[in-house]
Amino acid sequence: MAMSPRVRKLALTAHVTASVGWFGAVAVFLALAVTGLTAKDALTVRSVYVTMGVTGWYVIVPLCFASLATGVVSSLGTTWGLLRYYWVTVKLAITVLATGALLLHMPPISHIASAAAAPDWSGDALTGLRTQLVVQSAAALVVLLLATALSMYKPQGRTRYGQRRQQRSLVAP
Amino acid sequence: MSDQTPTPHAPRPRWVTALLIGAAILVVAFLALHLAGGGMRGHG
Repeated sequence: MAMSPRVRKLALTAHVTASVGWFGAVAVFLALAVTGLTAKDALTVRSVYVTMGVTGWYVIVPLCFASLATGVVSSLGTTWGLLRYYWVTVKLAITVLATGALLLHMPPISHIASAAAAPDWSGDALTGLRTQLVVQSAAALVVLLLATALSMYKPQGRTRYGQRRQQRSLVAP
Repeated sequence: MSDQTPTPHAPRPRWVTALLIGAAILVVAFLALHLAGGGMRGHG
C-alpha cells in the first residue's frame, strides 16, 4: 500500500498531531488529578473531577484512537511497515495496550466525575481512587514518552518477519 | 541453481529484551495490585 509523498506527509502529520495531543491531554489530566487530590477548596475539587470526566471522554479517548489509526495507516504506507522493525512493532504494542488500559479506566473516572457533580459530595470521598488517578496518569505519561522517544530515535533492529522480507527482496530478480 | 540454505536470523536487540522484561514486571505488579484488592473500585 505505497502512498505518494504528499499523502504520506499528510498521514504522518495527522499521526504526530494526534500522538502529541494525546500526550499533552494526559499531562493536563495529571495536573487535574494532583489538584483534585491536594486542593483544600471543595468547589475546586468538585470542578476538577467533573472536568476530568469531560476531558477523558471527549479529548483523550478520541486522540488515543486517532493516534492508533493514523499510526497504522502511516506505517503501512511506508517501507517501515507495521511488523518489520522492532521500534514500530513496540510502538504499536504500547499504543494498543495504552488504549485498552484507558478504556478500562474510563468507567471509574466517570464514576468519580458523577460523584463530584452530586450535591452530597464529601471532601474525603473516594480518596483511594483519586490517588490512583494520579499514579495512573503519571504512568501513562511515561509510557507515551517512551513511544515518542522510539519515534525519534528509531533504534535499530528488524523483526524476524522483517528479516525474511528483506531476504526475499534481495533474492528476487 | 543457487544454494537455498536459510540465512540465520539476527538476534533480538537488547533494548527490545529490556522492554519485554520491564513490561512483564509491570504486568505482574498490576495483577498483584488488583488481586490484593487494589482495583479502581476497591477504594472508597
